[in-house]
Amino acid sequence: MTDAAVSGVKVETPRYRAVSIIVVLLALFVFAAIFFPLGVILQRALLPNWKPDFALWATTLAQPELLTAVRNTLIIAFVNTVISVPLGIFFAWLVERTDARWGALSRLLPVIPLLLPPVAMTIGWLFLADPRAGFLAAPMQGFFRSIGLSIDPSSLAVQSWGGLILLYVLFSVPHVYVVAAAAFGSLDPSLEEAARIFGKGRLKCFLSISVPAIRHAVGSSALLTIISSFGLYSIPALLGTAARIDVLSVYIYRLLHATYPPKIGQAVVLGVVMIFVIGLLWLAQRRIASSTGHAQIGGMGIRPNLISLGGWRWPARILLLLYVLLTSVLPLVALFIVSLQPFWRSTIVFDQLSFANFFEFWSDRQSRAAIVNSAWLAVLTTTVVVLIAGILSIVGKNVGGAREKWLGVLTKVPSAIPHIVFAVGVLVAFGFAPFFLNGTWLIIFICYLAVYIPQASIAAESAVQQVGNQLVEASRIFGARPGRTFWTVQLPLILPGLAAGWALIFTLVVGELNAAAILAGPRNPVIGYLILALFDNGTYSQLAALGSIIGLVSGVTVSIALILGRPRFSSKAVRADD
Amino acid sequence: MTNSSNAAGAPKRTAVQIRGLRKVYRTRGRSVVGVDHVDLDVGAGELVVLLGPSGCGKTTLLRSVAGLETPDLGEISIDGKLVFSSSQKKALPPEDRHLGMMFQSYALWPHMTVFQNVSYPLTSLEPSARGDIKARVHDVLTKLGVAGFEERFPSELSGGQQQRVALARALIGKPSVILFDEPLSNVDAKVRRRLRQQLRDLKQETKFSGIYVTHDQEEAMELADTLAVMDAGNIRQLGTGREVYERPNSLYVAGFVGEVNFWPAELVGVGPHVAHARTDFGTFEIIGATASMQVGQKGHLAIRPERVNIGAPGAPVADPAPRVRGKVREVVFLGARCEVRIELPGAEVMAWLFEAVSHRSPPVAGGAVDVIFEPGSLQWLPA
Ligand SMILES: Nc1ncnc2c1ncn2[C@@H]1O[C@H](COP(=O)(O)OP(=O)(O)OP(=O)(O)O)[C@@H](O)[C@H]1O
Ligand SMILES: [Mg+2]
Repeated sequence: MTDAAVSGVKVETPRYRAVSIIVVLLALFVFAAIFFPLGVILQRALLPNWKPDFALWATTLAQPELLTAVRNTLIIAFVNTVISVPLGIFFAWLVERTDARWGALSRLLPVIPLLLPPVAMTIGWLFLADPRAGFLAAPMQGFFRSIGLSIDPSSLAVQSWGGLILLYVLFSVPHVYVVAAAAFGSLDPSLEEAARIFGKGRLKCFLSISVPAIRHAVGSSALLTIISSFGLYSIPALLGTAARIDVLSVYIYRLLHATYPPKIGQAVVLGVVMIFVIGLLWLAQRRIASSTGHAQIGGMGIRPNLISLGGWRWPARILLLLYVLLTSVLPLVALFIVSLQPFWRSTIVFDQLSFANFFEFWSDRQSRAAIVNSAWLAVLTTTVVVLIAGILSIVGKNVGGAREKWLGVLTKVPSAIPHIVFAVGVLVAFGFAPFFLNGTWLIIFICYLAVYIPQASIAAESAVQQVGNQLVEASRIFGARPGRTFWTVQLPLILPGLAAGWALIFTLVVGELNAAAILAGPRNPVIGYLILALFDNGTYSQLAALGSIIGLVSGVTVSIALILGRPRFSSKAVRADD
Repeated sequence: MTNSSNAAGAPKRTAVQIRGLRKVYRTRGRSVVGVDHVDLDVGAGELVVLLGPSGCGKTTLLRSVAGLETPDLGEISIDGKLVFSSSQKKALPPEDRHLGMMFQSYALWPHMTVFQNVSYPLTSLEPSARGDIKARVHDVLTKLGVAGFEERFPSELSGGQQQRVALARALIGKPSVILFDEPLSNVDAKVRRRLRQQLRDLKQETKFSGIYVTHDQEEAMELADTLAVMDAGNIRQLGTGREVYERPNSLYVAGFVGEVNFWPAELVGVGPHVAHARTDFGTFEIIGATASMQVGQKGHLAIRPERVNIGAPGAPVADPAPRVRGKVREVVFLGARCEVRIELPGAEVMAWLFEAVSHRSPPVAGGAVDVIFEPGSLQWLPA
C-alpha cells in the first residue's frame, strides 16, 4: 500500500474513521507514557520553575558519595563491556558459523539465561558463593587448600568486585549473543570461505573477517551492554551493598527511599545526566557504524558451510555448556535447595527439607498480595503491551513510508534509558499533583508499559515483516474490510511471534526490580518489592522460595506460550511472496 | 453487481475501462514511472494479456486496477462503476471493487484450510448474498480437480494444487474481473501448459473477464483475446495475438512477440499499395503501405524467420520475388524445424525451415543458397 497523499487522492474510507481514531489514541497513549515522563524530568532538571537554575545541580554533584558511585559504575560498565561483548560474539560465532553447534538446541542454549530473571540468578549466586554459607565456598576453599594455597575465605566471596563483574557478565552475554547471532546469520558466508581459502587460520578468520564484518552488531551490542551496566539495579543491590560497592542505580534508589524527605530533584538530575551520556554514546556508535558501513551483509538465504573446528569442537561445546551451567542451572539448583531448607546453610540435611517456606509466605498477607498482584500486573501489562505493539506495527506496515519508520524509532526510545531512570521519570510525572498515582498499581502499569514497549514492538515488527504483503492484499481483494483482514489474516499470522514476545516480556515483568524498587511500596507491593524486603530482613530461605517460584513460573509460561503460539503451518508458506 | 446481470445487459459492457492512467513511484527523492498515458478497455468476457519485459509496469497497472496502488492521474471504471478518478478525487478501496485475483505467490493464507481459503470471498459478503457456501466451494473445487482437499492446509498441497486452489478462490465470488499476476511462473513447464489449457476451458465455460500479466509470450498468445504489449510504462500495441504478431507497429513489439530478422532501411518509394525499402543488400518491395509511410523515412525492414524462403542457387525462377545470394553459416536441427543462419552481403538472416525437416534435404553449412524475400512477408517498421 502506498502513500495516497502523493496524488492527493484519498481512498474513500469513512467507515474506518472510528478505527483510525482508536489507533491514533492508542499511539498517543503510548507516546504519552514514554515521552511525558522524559519531558518532565528534563524540565525539572534543566528548567526548574521554567527558568535555568543550577542550584540543584550544584547540590547533586557536590555529594562526596556520588563520585564513588560514578567511578564504580564506570568501572563496571567498562569491564563488563570489555568482557561480555567479545564473549557473546564468540559464542554467537561458535553456534552460528562453526560445527560446534549441534542441532537446533545449541542455538537456544545461549539464550536460556534470558528466561531467568536477573534477580533470580543473583539470589542463586548469593547462595552459591557466599563466603560462609555458599554451596561452592567450602569445596572451593578445600580445593585451594589441597593445592597448598591457604586463602582468606572472604576473598572468594561473590559480594566483591569479582563477583559483581561475574554476574554482570553472565547477565550481559546473552544480550550480546542475540544481536551478534542475528548478524552472523545474515552475513555472507563467502567472505569467511574466501578467507579460509587464502589460508587464514580459524581464529584469524574469526578476528579478521567475521568480527569486522559484523562490526555494526558489535557496536550496538556494546552500547546495549553499557546501557544495562548503567541501569541494572538487582545485581548491585543484592551483592554490591554487602561488598560496599555503590553504583549509580543504587545511589538513585537511596536518594528516593533511604532519605526523608526523598531527594527527588537529585535523582532527576542524575537521570538526565545518564540520558545525556547514553545519548552521546549512541551518536558516537551511529557515527562509527555509518562511516564503516556494513556492505558485507549479503542476506542470501543460503546456509553457509560451517567452519570445522577440528579438535577444538568439544572444548567449544563444553564452554557453551559451562556457560549455561553458570547462568541458569547452578543458580536455580541453589535456589531450590535453600528454599526447601528451614534456614540457609551450606550443608543439606535431607530430613529437614520441606515446602514450609512456600506455605509460610503464602500465609503472609503482604507477601501473598505481592505475588498475586504481580502475577495480575504481569499478565495485564504484558498482554496490553504486546497487543498495542502488534496493532501499531500492523498499522505501521499498512501506512508505510516515513510514518512507519517514525513509529518504529519512537517505540524504541525507552530501550536507551535505564529502567531505574525511567521509573524516576514516571514517579515525578504521575506520582504527585495533578495525578497522585504514587503508591497505586496504575503507576507501575504505566511504567512497565513504556519500559517494555521496545521489546514488544521488536517482536511484533519481526512477526509482521514475516507475513507476506500479498497475504494481506489478497484478503482485501476478496472483499474483507480492514477490520476483518486484521482479525482473520494479520493477527492469526503474527500470533506466534507475539506469543514468543509475550513470554519473554512476562518473565521480564515478573522478575522486574528496577521500576518496582522506585514505584512499589507497602500499598502496591509487587514481587520485586517483596524481594528487596526479604533481602533486607535476611529471610533468605523465603527469598529462595520466591526466587524458585519466579524461575519456575517464567520457565513454564515461556514453554506454554511457545507451544501455544507454535504455527500449524510451515514458516515457508508465510513468507509466500519474497 | 454480478457477472450474470452484466452478461444479460443488452449492449456489450466494458468490464474495465482505463483512461489516461499515470503512476509514479517516489522513493527517497527519486521518482520512477510505473505506468503513464495508459488507456485500456476490457470487454465483458474478454481476457486481456499484458505482455512486456521486467519492470515495464505490468504489475503496477494491475495493482492500480485492484486498488492496491493509488495512481496519480487518470480514471478507472469497473463494470461501469467509477472506482478511481484523480479529477474527482475518488478511489474505492480494493474490497469494494468486486474483483478476483490470482497472485504470483498464490497468497493462500497458510493458517486457513483449503475450504476456509476458498470460501473467504463468500464469507466477506453480507450473509444474504452468500448462498450455499459448502456447495459453491465444492462446485468450484470439483471443476478445478482439487475436490477432497478441503481440510488440508496449503502447505500440505503441491505447487500445482495450490495454484488451482488460488484460482478457485479467485473464481468463486463471480467477480466482475479477475486479475492474474504471472500466476503460472512458479511451476514447471508441463504443469503450466495443463493449467493454461484448463484456464482456457474455464473461460469458455464461465466467461469471466480478466487482465492477465505475463512475460512469457507463448502464454500470452495462447490466452489472449487481446494482447497489450507494454514498454516502459506504456502500451505499445494493442490487438489480437495474430494482429500483433503479423503486423507489429514497431521493432520493439516485433522483437518481443516472436523472433524477427530486421535491417536498417530507408523508404525510397511509397505507392497506394506497395512501398519500396532500400537496405545495404538491396531494395525490396513491401505490400501494404500505410498513410504514415513517407519517402525518405528511416526505419527497419523486417521479416519473420518462418517467412524466409530459400532456394537452390540458380534454380529456375518461377517466383518473381527478389532473391539474394547468400552463404549458409550454420544449420541447427531443432526437431520440428531447422534453423538456418545465412550470410548476406553485409547482413545476416535467419530462416526456419519446416519442410526441410521432413521432405527435402536441408541446406548444408558453407553452401550457397538464394534467399527469397516475398513482398507479402516483408514488413516496414518505422524507427
Ligand atoms: N513500490 C514501488 N516503489 C518504487 N518503485 C516501484 C515500486 N513498484 C514498482 N516500481 C517501479 O515501477 C516500475 C514498474 O514496475 P512493475 O512492478 O509494474 O513492473 P513489472 O512489469 O510487473 O515487472 P516484472 O515482470 O518484473 O514483475 C519499475 O521500474 C519498478 O522498479
Ligand atoms: Mg510484476
